[in-house]
Amino acid sequence: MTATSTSLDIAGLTIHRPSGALLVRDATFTIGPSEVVLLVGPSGCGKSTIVKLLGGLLDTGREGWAVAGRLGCGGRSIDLGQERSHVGGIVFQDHALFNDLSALENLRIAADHAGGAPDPELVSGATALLGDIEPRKTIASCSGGQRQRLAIARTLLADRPVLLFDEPNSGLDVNMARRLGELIRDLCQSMGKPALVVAHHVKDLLPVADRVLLFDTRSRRLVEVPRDAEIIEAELLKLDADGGAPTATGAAPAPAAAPAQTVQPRRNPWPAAIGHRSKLYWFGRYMAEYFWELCVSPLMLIYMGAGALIMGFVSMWFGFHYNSFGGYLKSLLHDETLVGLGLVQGTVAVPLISSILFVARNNAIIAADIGNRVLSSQFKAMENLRIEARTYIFSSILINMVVGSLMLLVLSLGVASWSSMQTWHLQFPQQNFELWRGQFFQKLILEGYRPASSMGWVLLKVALSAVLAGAAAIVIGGGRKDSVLEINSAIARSIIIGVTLTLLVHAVISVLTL
Amino acid sequence: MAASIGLSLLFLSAGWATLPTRNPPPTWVYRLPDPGSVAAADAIPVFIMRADRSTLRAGQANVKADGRIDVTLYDPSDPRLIDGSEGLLFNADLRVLWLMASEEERAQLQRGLEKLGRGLREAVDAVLRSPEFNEDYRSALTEIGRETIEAAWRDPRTRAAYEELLRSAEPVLREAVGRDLKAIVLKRAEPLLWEMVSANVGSLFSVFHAHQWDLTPVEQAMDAIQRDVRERALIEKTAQRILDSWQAKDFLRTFAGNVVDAVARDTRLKDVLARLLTDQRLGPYLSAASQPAGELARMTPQVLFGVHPQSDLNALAAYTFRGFVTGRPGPLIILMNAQRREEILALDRQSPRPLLHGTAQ
Repeated sequence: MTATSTSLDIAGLTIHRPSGALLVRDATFTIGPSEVVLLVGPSGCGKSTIVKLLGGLLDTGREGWAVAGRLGCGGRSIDLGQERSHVGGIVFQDHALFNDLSALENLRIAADHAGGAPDPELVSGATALLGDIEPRKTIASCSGGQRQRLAIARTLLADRPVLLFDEPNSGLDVNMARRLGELIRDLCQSMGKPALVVAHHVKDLLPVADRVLLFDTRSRRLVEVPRDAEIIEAELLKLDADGGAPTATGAAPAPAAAPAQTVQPRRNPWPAAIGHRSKLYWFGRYMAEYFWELCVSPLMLIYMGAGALIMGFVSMWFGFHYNSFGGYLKSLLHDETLVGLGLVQGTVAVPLISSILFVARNNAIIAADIGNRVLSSQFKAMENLRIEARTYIFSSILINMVVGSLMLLVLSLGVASWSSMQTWHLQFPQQNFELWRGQFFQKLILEGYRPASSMGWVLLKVALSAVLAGAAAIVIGGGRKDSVLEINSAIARSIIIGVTLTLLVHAVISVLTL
Repeated sequence: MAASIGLSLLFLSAGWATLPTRNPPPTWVYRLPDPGSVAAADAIPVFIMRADRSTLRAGQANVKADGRIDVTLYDPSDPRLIDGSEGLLFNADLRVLWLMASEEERAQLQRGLEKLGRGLREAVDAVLRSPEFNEDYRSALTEIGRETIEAAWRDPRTRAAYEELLRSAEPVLREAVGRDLKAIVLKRAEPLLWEMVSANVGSLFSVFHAHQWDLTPVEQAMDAIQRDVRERALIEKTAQRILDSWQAKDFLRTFAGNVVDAVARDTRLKDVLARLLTDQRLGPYLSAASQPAGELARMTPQVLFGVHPQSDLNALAAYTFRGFVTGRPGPLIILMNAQRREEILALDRQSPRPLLHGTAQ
């Protein structure tokens, strides 16, 4: 693995919260090449904020965090108050793995967006941690330890000068935490990169740290303390007792990491599997993912087909049975009724029911998907890994909302028409189907199967409602999420707003094109 | 993935099966016996008559300008077509529904109409005899009628037409008297002389006694002349000759027109009629007509249009009804067997037009 021998210099770092409260004042420290520095402090004191700042994820500016100070790294000096730092690759506390991608794809996407073809030595070194993980495994089926190592490997493949670990031992047992600490130290030494490790529980990581910085919440300064667990804990207790830090909420008990499996010596399949792909590939990958999820999953097709089937039956059955004169005039007014039902079903009823079903279902999925990505810091991880989330995810969603809504409209029209035709035949069993065909499509399909101009408006309202509803779901799902409850709430809101927008678009265009 | 592809193909094929067939080749070709009598037209409905005389929509036809008719059937393999290839071209009006009705249905409708006619007569009689009408309306209507007729009679145009009629009637009367009546009188006059002599011969020779003349032969001759006039319908023939003249027609037309004008000008008539028609006291006298009218109103759509709650489609009635409502009754073709065609043509030679079998070119 290539050793870079980079150091990180922070000088005069001062951060104010968006509320104006001081977070840290005039912090100055250096982390040398291959050096591991622990940053300790009470929960909620702002340690992770410093990591986010160094990873380029802190929103600064007029409405955001106020930052002052300079950062030096690899011969480059950055005014942190003016520009973002992208020197740090972050290993997030909750791993922030992309759970829609496989284990291998999580690494591939990081490597492909690191800039240029990945260094084989870097790939080899980063994936050396993953010998016991099957590359095609899904993230959901990985143990806590495997996820931790996948997150570290992914960050290493991003090839940033500084490694930033945000409470990496959170939720791990003692053995796993110590093994993790050794892993971090070995990586730093082999790669020559400085590492800043934010930790709340220091005992397990202390043996691998070269130095320890204490976040003094009374003075709002970073103070170097001896590498002595008792001294550090005493200092932390004092800080807690002085109430300088917000009340610690404590980490939620995470499922215990699976014990390290006994790994049979074998060839590491990861380096050969990672390879290199263009951004177009990843765009196509996300397009395909959302195309499947939003448009053509079997359940979606069954759901839409059932809606169209019912709509076709209802409009034909009740159209003939429950008109003003009951069954008396159904024979006399048959042709006109059929032409009218065809027009209403093809231009109003089926497009509306198709749009509502499509939007209700997909807005729930989008809000849940985006909300989950927000809650599990996946967007932050993407940003840190320089992956264009908006290009890949948002545009894929919106394109698939339009394409899927039109595609499913065609399928729904087909199913509803078939259902209508069969329902009509139930009521008029002696008549030939061709009579129905001629009348039902009279105002929808012109000579030579050319669609009537009114179908253009139908396509417009279906596509417009889908794209507006999809955008609403993205906005609602992408809002701040601190709990699963907020995702649930976002799902409900996105369904209501999406369906309301759909109704409005359909109503307005239908009225305008009367 | 396979499930999605399968479902998508299933939905698409279901939708595809519903699309109408475009521009299919004609199944049969007919031609009109008199090309040009029917304007070229597209998509004329074609029906097939079933054994129970009900019709079923079976396809459509195009009438070309040269009188050729291309018929495209929905299902050319329909076994009913084997014995149903004789075509009749109709205009979509009530006449076609009447012709398609069975004899029993037509008789049923006729009975209904007769019953309604009887009921109407009874109702009108009852109204005219009612005390309410006689007290409140009769004198007023009689007065209005008399005045309007007088006004029309006094009208100079009526007088001029009447004078013209008299002038034209005089030669006719003269000819009738001079030719027909004279022959009858002369025929009876000669025997009358001898019968008078025979009856009064005693009186002739008894000049000193005042005897009454026996005029019985004269009375008998007059009776005979009247009988001859009656038997030869001399008066009727003369009156008919007068009425057949253009002067009589002109007079009647002028007089009737002036009566109608006078009625229209008379505001009293409108008031009286308005009161009469809205007079609830007269309602009970109309009961004789209301029941047959209701029965006919219910029966007619059921018989002609096939309207009842559980009916299957009567496409012929629907097409006719549409033409009736829109005021644009188009042509239609009904296919049937030869016997049915002759039955319909026996009922009506004018309205249906038989189609000749043609050959596709």
